[in-house]
Amino acid sequence: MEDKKDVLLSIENLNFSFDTQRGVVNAVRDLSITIKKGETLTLVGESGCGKSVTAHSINQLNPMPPGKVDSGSIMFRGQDLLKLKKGEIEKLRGTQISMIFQEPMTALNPVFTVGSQIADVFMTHQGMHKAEAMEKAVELFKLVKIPAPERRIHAYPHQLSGGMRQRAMIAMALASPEPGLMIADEPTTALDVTIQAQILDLLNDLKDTVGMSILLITHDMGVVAEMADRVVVMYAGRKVEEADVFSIFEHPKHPYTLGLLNSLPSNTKYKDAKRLEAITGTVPDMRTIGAGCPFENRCEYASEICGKEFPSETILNESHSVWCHNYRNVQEG
Amino acid sequence: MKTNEVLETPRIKEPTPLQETWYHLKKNKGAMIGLGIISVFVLMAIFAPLLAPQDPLIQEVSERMTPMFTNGYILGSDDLGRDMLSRLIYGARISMTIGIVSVGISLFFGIIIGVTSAYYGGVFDKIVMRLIDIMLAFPYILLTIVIVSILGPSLTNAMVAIGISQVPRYARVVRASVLAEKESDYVLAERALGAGDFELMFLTILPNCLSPTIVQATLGIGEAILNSAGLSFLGLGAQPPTPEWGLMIASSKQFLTSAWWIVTLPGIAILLAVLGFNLFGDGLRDILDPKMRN
Repeated sequence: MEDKKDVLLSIENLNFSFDTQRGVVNAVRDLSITIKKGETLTLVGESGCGKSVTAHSINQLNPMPPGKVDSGSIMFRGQDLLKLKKGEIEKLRGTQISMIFQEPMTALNPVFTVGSQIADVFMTHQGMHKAEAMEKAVELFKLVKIPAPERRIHAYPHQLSGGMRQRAMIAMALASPEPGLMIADEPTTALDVTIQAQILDLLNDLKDTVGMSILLITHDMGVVAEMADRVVVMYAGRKVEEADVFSIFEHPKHPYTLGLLNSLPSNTKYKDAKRLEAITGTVPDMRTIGAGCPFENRCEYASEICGKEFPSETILNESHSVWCHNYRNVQEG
Repeated sequence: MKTNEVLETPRIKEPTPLQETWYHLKKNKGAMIGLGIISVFVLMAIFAPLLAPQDPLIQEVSERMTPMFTNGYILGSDDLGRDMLSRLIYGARISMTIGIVSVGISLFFGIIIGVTSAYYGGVFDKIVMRLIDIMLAFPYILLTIVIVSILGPSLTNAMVAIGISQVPRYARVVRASVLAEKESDYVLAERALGAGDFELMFLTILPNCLSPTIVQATLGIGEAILNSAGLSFLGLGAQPPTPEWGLMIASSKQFLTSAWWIVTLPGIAILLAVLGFNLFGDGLRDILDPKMRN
C-alpha cells in the first residue's frame, strides 16, 4: 500500500499514560499514525484528547515522570525514537524534528533578542560563529516574510506583534540543517483570523521550499481544510477516524467527526441560518474510560455493543478508515 | 489577497533594557541618592592613593589625636597619629572589596545550588533544601564566627566566611524564581530546539531570574560591609594596622569621650556605605519588579 521509503515517521500502537496522584490517566491509547515525506498530517480533536501528548511523545517533551510510554514504537528515519538515549534525542530536536507552539507570546525567551535566539540554534547545532549565525537569522526572517529583517532581529519578543512572533518562532524551527518534521502545535490558535491565514500560507509555502513534513495539531476544522493532506481525528486518546482531507469533509463516517463538522459555521449548507449544532455532553473523565468506545455516552448512534468493546478498524478504501460499530448509519446533515 | 507583501515600517528607536532601567532609576530619588553614595565610595576605593593626603599607616606620635580641621588634618588624627581621612579613604577600598568578593562567593554557590535544585527537583531538591534549612537555622553571626575560627582570623577568611554563610539566602531566592520560570513555554520551546540541561539552566532560565538576584546582591553588599566591620570589631576580621572601619572603631573605642572623631567617623563611614547600598537596592527592587512600578 505505502512505499516504505516514503514514510518519514510512523507511530505504532503507542500507549502513553500519566500516573497522577488521583489515578492513572491513559492519555493516548493504541495510536498508530504514519507521516510521509512532504505530507501534512493534521491531528484533530477537542482539548484534552491527547493531541499534544502524541506530538510531545515524538520528541519526548512530555514530563516523565509522571508520563510513561506503556508500549509502542515511534520510528523516525529508521530509528526508534523511544529507544534513544537522552543525548541522542536532544541532537534530533531542533535539527530534524522541530516544533512551533501555540502561544507565540510566551514561547520566546523574553530576555534575549529574537535574532540572538535564532542565532543560538545555529551556533549550538552547526557550530557557527555569531556573525555568520546572525546573517543566517536575517535570511530566515526574510524566508518567513518578516518586514525589515535586519532591524527586527535586534528586537525583543515584547516589541513584536503576535503574528510577527509566530513568524519568528517558525524561523527558529527552520534553523535546522536538515528539516524533516515540523510539529506545529496549534500554531494559529492565539492569532486573529487574518494573521492566521498568513501563517498557514507561510507554512504551506515553506513545506514545499524546504521540503519537510508537517504534523499539525489543531481543533479548528477550517485550519484542517486549508492545510491537511490527511486527517486523523482523535477522541479521548483514541484514533476514531483517518482519511484524506476530501473524504473527511465529504463523507465523514464517525459520529464524532460529523459532530465536529456540524459545529462549523457554513455559508453553503445553512442558507437560512440556523443555530450551530453542538455535540452534547462533555469528554468523559480519562481515568474512568472502560473498554468500550469513549464516545458512547455522547453518541446518537450508540448501540449496546458500543459500551462493551472498542470497535476495530474498518477500512472503507485505501485512504479512509474508521473505528465505529455503527458507521453505516452515520449520515450527514 | 496580498498577504505576503513586505511593508516598510517607520523607524522607531526602541530603548535597550539598560536604557529603560536607567530611565526608571532616574525617577527614583532614593535609588539615585544611593547610587551617588556608592559612586563616591567606589571612586574613593579606586583612586585611594591619589586622594589620600597621607600614607594611612604612617604614625606621627607627636600629633596624636589632633582634632578635626587642625594642623592640616582635615578629619583629625587617631591615637597613633595617623591621618583619619587617609585611613577612611583606604578603608573604603577594603570595605568595597569585602562587599564585592563575599557577595561574589555567595552568588556563585547560591546560583549553582538554587538553579540545579529547582531544575532537577525531586529528591535532590529536597535534600539540598533541607541542608540549606539547617544552615539557616544557625544564627548568621554565629555561623560566620564558627567558619572564621576554623579558617583562622584574617580579612580573606572573613570574606570567605561571610560569603559562605550567606549562600543559603541566595540559593533560596534563585530557587524560587527558577521554580516559577522553568514551567514557561519558552523553556519547553528551547528544549524542543535541542537545548541540553546545562544550556536550559544557565543560559535560558537563569537570565530570566536575574532581577531578584541582582536586588538581593545589592542589598547583600551593604550587609557584608556591615558584617565584616562587625567581625573586625570582634578581632576576627582585619588585623591591625589595616585601616578597616570596624577595626578602627574597635581599637579606639576607649577614646570615645576624649577624641570622639576617632570612633565616630569610621562608624559614619560604615553607616553611609550600608545606607547607600540599601537605598540603591530598594530602588532597584521597585524598578525591576514590574508589580511595584507605576
